[in-house]
Amino acid sequence: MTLEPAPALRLAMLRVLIGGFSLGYVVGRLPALLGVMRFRESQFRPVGPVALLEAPLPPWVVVVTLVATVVLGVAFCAGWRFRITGPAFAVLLTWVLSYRNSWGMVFHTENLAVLHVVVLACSRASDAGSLDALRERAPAVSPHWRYAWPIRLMAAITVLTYVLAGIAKLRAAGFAWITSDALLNFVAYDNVRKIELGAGYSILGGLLLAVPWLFRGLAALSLVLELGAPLALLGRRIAHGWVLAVWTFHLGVLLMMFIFFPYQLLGFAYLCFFEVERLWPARWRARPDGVA
Amino acid sequence: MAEWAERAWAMGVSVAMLSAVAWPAVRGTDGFPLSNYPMFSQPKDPVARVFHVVGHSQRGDHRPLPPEALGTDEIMQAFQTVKLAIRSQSAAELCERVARTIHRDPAYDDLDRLEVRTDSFDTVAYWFGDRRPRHTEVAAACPVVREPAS
Repeated sequence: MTLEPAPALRLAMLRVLIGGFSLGYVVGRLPALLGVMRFRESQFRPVGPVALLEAPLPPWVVVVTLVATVVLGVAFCAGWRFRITGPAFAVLLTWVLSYRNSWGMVFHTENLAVLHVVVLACSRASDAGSLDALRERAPAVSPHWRYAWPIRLMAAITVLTYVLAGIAKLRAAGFAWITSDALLNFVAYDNVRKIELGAGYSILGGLLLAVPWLFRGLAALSLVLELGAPLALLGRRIAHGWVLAVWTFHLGVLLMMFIFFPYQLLGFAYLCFFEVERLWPARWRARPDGVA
Repeated sequence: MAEWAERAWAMGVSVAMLSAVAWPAVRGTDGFPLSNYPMFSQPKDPVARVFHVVGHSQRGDHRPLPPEALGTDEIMQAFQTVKLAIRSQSAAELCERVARTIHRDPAYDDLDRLEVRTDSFDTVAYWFGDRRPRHTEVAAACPVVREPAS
């Protein structure tokens, strides 16, 4: 393995930020996560690990699972007993979000956050900047490949998800995705559906339908960004350029289709491409445990 | 942990994770948290079939009910809820459930009847002013029963 060593604090910062996002997401989405208890059993279409179930869980189990996820999420962010709480949070986060996605609709806005949390849970993300490091009075840790591989893996998973989305488009429509009105029809379709479902929609998306060539250009651009995503693994500058482009792509999706990818648009999905340890308070950075 | 064991762990986790993430593309299956990310990929017909619940007022107006009336804040979940109800022949039950949900809500005071229905729209013409459904199938209809004011 010839990985450039990374500081322990970079991985720790990813634990705090990505764990924090996931925890905040679960707390913020509690009404939706609890709302599944109102759905009828006939709607139950289990996905992922929930496929182990033949019927929906009793409501009290849903509530207990959610409470446990929140508690473990706090421990994950704080790096408390991380060898136990890290994997436990990853398992429960995967479970509760899979359960919510098991009612006839899979939301693709949540996959990447879960995958990143799983990687962090499998790593030594609490060797610095954590309650574990504070308790164990951990000695200073030099940059090491053991802190680099999880970050590299998160980056590889990020680009892979975009490549898969590109492949899905080529499989479904071929290059007609670019040369036809596929994207225009999609934007028109999606916004009509939103209006007719009594929900918010994009006025901009509707107005731009008068400019069909624009959609072919955007379709080509999206395919280039998706299939060209692996280039982001070649170097920091390329990675940063790709991140900016793909973030703009998600902004475009929000503006034209009113679809919000929170993990991507708030930037958390791309933190693994940056030296995030710089966000850690400077006066604590030099300390071996990374805390005051 | 010994260095060799740590390397083996790193390699094992990396191979397992990348294989798992790529696997749905090989099989062409969508799921969670592993997916082939098919969103936006399926070519859309210029005609959209919309499964929704529409409220009618005594004045003759009508409007679609928002996702919240169907017990969710997610548009797509609302869409799927109506679609599954129509396909599983339980549209009447859904209609009554939604009517019970909204009957005390002042935001729906003007509505006295609901329809669970499938409307087909020309999605491009829609944006140029032609918002009439090309085709409508009503799967169920029900009144919004309100208690008389005391």
